[in-house]
Amino acid sequence: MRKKLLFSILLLLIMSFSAAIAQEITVTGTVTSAEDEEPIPGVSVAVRGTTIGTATDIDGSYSIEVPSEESVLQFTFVGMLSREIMVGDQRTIDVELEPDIVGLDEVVVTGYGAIRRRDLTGSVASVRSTEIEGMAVEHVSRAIQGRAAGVQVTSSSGAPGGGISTIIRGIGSFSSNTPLWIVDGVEISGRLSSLDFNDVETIDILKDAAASAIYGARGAAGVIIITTKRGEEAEETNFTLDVSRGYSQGITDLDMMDGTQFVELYLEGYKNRLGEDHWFTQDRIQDAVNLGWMEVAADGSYDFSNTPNHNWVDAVNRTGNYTDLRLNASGGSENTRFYSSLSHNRTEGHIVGYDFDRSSFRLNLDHDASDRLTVDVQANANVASRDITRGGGAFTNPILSAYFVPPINAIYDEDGNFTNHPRGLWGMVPSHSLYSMEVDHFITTNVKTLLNLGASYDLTDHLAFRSVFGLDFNFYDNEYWYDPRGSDGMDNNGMLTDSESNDFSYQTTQTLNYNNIFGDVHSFNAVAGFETYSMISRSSSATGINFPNHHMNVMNAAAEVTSFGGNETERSRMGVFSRLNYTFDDRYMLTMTGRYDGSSRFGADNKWGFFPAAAIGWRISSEPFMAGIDQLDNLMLRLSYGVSGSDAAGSYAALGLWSGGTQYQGNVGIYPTQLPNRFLTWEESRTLNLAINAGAFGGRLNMEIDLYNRWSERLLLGRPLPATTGWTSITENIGRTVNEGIEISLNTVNIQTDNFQWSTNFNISFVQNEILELLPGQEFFSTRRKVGRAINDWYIPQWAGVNPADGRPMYYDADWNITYNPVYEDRHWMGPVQPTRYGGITNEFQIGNFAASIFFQYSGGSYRYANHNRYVQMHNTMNLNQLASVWTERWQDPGDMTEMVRPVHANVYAGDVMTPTSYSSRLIERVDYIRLKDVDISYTIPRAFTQRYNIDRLSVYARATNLLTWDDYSGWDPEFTGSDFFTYPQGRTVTVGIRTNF
Amino acid sequence: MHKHNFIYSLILTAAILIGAASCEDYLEKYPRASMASELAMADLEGIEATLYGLYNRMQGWHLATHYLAGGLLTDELKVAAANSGRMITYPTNQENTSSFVSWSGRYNDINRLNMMLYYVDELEGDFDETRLNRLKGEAHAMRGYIYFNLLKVYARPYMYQTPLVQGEPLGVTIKLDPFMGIDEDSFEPRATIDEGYQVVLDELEMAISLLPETNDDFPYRFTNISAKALLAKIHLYMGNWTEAASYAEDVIADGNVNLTGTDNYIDAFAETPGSESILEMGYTSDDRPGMNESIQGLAWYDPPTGYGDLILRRDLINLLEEYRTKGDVRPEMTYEYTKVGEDVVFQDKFAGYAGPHAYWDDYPVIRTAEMYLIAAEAYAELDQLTDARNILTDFREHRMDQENAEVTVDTKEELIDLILTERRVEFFCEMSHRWFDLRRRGMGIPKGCPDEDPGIPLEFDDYRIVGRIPNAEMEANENAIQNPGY
Repeated sequence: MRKKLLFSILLLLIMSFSAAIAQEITVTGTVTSAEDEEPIPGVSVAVRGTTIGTATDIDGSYSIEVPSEESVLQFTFVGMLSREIMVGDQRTIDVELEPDIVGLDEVVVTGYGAIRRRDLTGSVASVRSTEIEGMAVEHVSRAIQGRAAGVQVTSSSGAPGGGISTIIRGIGSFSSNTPLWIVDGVEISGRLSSLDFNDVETIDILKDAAASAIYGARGAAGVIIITTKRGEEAEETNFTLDVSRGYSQGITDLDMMDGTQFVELYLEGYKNRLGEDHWFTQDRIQDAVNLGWMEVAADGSYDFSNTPNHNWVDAVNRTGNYTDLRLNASGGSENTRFYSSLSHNRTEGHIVGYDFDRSSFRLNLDHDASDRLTVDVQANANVASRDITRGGGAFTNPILSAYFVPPINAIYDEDGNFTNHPRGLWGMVPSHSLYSMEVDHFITTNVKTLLNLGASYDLTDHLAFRSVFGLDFNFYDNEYWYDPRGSDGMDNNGMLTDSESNDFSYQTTQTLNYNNIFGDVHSFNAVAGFETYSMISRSSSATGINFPNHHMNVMNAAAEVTSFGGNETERSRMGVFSRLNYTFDDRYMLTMTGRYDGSSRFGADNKWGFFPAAAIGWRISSEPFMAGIDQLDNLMLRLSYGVSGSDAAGSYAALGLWSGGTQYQGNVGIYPTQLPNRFLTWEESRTLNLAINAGAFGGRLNMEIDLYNRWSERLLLGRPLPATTGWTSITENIGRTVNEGIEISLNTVNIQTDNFQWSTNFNISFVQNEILELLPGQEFFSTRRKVGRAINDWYIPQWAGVNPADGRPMYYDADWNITYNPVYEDRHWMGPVQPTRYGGITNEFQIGNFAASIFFQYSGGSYRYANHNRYVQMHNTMNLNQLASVWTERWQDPGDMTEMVRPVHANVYAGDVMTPTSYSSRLIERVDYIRLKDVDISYTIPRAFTQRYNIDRLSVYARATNLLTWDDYSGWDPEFTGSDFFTYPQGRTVTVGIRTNF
Repeated sequence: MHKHNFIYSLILTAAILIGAASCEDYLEKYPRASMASELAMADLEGIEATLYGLYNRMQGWHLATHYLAGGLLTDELKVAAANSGRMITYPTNQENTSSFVSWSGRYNDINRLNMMLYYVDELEGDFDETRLNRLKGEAHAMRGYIYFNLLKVYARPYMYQTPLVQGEPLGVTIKLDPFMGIDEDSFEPRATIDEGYQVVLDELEMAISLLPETNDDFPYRFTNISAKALLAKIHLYMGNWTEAASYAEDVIADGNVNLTGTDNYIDAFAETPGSESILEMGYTSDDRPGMNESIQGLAWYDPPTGYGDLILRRDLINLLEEYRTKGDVRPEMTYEYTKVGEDVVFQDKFAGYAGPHAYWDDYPVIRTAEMYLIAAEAYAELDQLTDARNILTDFREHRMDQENAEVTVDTKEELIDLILTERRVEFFCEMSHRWFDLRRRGMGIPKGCPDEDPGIPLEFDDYRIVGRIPNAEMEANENAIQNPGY
């Protein structure tokens, strides 16, 4: 009831600003480009401080009714510097617009409204479509990697649609650091990989609380706002056809042992363990001879000249290829404008068995129903399907087994067919991954539809109302078939797991926008609104076994259903919000924001939270005392402080719960799953941000530096309980961390002549996380958390190398003395896990009709556990193939200084020695890298030639990604985070394509 | 203009209506896959379902590790040269291997039982008294059984408590009330071993007083007779020989309990339930253990079924061969195999009665044979040597050629040695018997043939005889005390 009242009062207050409509003056004119004097259609012409506005038509002309002669007309267009002209006694105003090289006048979307970059007081990084157009990426996150200061994009797989994470200003929470994604004003859930980023016009990333507080409950980890392309009035519909074809090759490679080294390593292990004369060693030697792996010469020496050597890695890798087709059309009449696109991508991955397919469709429509009412529709559908192989630690994961399978195991028989399952061979790999890959299938289909409907109504010249209804529907289907002929399905006569899930979210937003200028110097812009959001997720799955044969592989053919399940979760939020921007004389700016939000996830008394923020800006360059300095375009200081929240607890995190789904002898069982916590509430982040923006030399140099502290508080943490309570933890709001950072971005136009332009876009971010508080009075808990350290630092036994005297693994104890068997207390801290610096640099060149861009991306300071190396550096435990260095660099004689232990069967060393394969810092490496991520060259055929064929523009382009990497990391890929474990590698790709506008 | 005013009013009305939708209701969301504790425990059905949930858990830990770890830690089992890397730290008794009963898992069970027994007393209304008592009886029996398991692993043996290494001999934490959540923040220290065993005895005696004589669902659930069988075992572990013998005789005399003969001994392991089972974990097709957790998966091999990792040690093979010459049926529960060049012997007790790839057997928790051997050992300790010889002879007649069955040894020591040997032959690959037998009698841990690898015997005072309290417990509970040596 309280909220209802609040909302109504807010609404009435803002409506009361409505002013009477004065007598109107009609102004007409034409807008042209200063560069080529061509008319510019679609230029926004607005009366400053009001909602009155129109756009230029195809001839660049406009007509607008203004309230008075004091009215100021604003002319704005993407990529052009905007202009303001007072009407006075003029009735015809023709305008020339200059190109905006560094985007000072670009419009930044700040949530429930937009603002010119020069008036912005919060920290917002923007990426424009021109920077990312035509990139060979399938996830919009990839497109902003290295291009926006403060935004860190990592992935755990190179597969299209694979795991990707976007983190803004480092991780500060123990539970969720995922930013909020907004597409055309509507919150997006589920996977974003299906959004076609070629439809994207701009991406604006709200980083500090002053910018994100308007999103209150959801803004703690930052907000990413995507605005899609819209149509403009045009005489003829404008078509763009873009066709490209690319090739890719995996960029990860490990140097593995060959057949001879494999046999040698394991025989040496038996000898070193048991002695050469031991019957067991002798039996193994005999095995090797019997199996044709080697021969023993008369003098007892081994002859490896006929040792088989099969390269499984080569068999699993291939040259991938992909084809990308994209057609879009845009245009429209004065009252109705549209943008539509259709795209299709088909990829054959660079690992056998990986195929991807994606189609997407979009229609954006705007219709002016009257002078005051505009309705708009955004409709988007995507279908993505992936046919992949088994992943993770299964032996039938071809990427993993390519490295594991002993190279003495043949891939093909004499007839070129796959060998029968080499189960039980010396190598103990119980399956033939390539054969399994051929008969099994893992198909994932994802359908995503986004639909939103908006209407804007100008209540008065100063007050506009906007209403948005958005739907986001995601459907996922996974079908995993383990064929009875393959080793995973054999034991069950075939196994099928079929799972489906969908989530459906519904959002309503009502906003009022007020715009006015008093006395020519007091400029006000205010927004207030009310929003609801709800989401429901459902899932179901079933597993069946015992299929009659491999031809019948749907659930109906299963003789037995072994497991099945289904679930539903629901959550909702609602909130009221308001923001006021005030600018005095283009010199002093003030922004105040507040949002009052409720979430279904919290306890009855803690559902609601209030998130305020304030920011001030001072444009020093507009001060009279700066008037003499002509080279300086802009110099501005910004300071902001604010609070935003996160409700990233589980959907029912505050409740005490029991679950079912178990049985004994056919009787249904239940069990407690969660302890209640009636105090559970929001996580909060408080950001203090100080920034300086500077621009000089007519837009040739532009710089932005942000300094910030972000305190994340009341963090949700599982307070560990002694197991003797029956529970392991209870979720409470107890943690506190701080992220301190600096972000620098620098855009320069280095050379600009008629035929040659060279510009550079550079950004780098430094961020450091520190845990300030855990449990009251407790410095340390849960094995990896300690006050004073960063989140997820390593607390791990320290590897001290190989004892040069006898080849045994050594470790450090608590006092950094050598020990062979470190105990828990001997652990030391290492970290951080997250990179402490990252960024990118892009150089763009334009020489006549040629354009080129070279993009480097870098990251450093993180300590990564090279997870997969655990398995290819196991030495002699599991008879799996190992890194070549395990053999070539092994300890052999006293005095050998090496990192590779003496080979001993089962890694059993004399005395009480912890095996080198145990969890220790041996495989932790600091990761620093620079990657030549993207090189792009294009040539536009001279227009004089193409116009003969009615083609406005025709360009050909070539693009290469992941060309070179400079790093010391011995692991899978320095860019990968998370479980870096034999996942689909990133590709080095080369793409060629043609883009046509007609 | 009128039209616009109309639209304006419409939109505004819509907005206000949406705003006026009941805010608080909009933010009330409850799960459908779970329910609140008060609801779950409000009726007898909920209490009963909690018990089934607990049986499901008990199934979950009565799997390969629980049955085979003890063998690997002693002179019974080892890991084949070609193996899948599973359980490879056990034969060398590496740290943590003796903690094979999960501390946190079992206390989770205990808390559920505590909740169940707490809420059952809060129930209101009329209930079938017999049904109520049976549920309570089963809960008490299970709680006693779980505490007994924790004590067997995390404390020194009852009869040999005096530590030969430094430190106080401690039992386990005793908790008989449910944990109440956020408001509770002081936690129990460990009780003494004596206190622990007293709780175990109390629980099982309470169970016997509540459980009906009808023994419904025998042997798949705790029944009156299985509670008695457990008490026989517990008294044996405590050295209460009179009580051990008396409970064992009670059980043997019960109509539900059989001792199979040589003809159908082998079948007893392939039947469901096993004809000798007094308490047995039964699996259905929905919860069968699978390759990684079944005994068939780990300790049986017929490619492509099973990993064939765990094999019999030579000392046990020799012992079984000796028994084979007496016409004993038990060595038939093994088979020879050449695995990647290595001549090995696998167990054949748990070979997947539902087929080669099913990894599906029932696992007995207590069998009749154990009652005979408990009685024999107790009589021997009580110096009732004739009684001991008679019951042991009776037992052996069910296992081997009649002419070889009679027990002729004279002294108490020889008799006890023989009983321990019989236990090795009878219980290999079952319930980690060998490890617990050696511990409870204060013996060191042998590894069999001295030249067999790996084989480093453990002294009885070795710290690894007792399990390690998990670090999570040590960190979260300031009253927790680690076992000495860790």
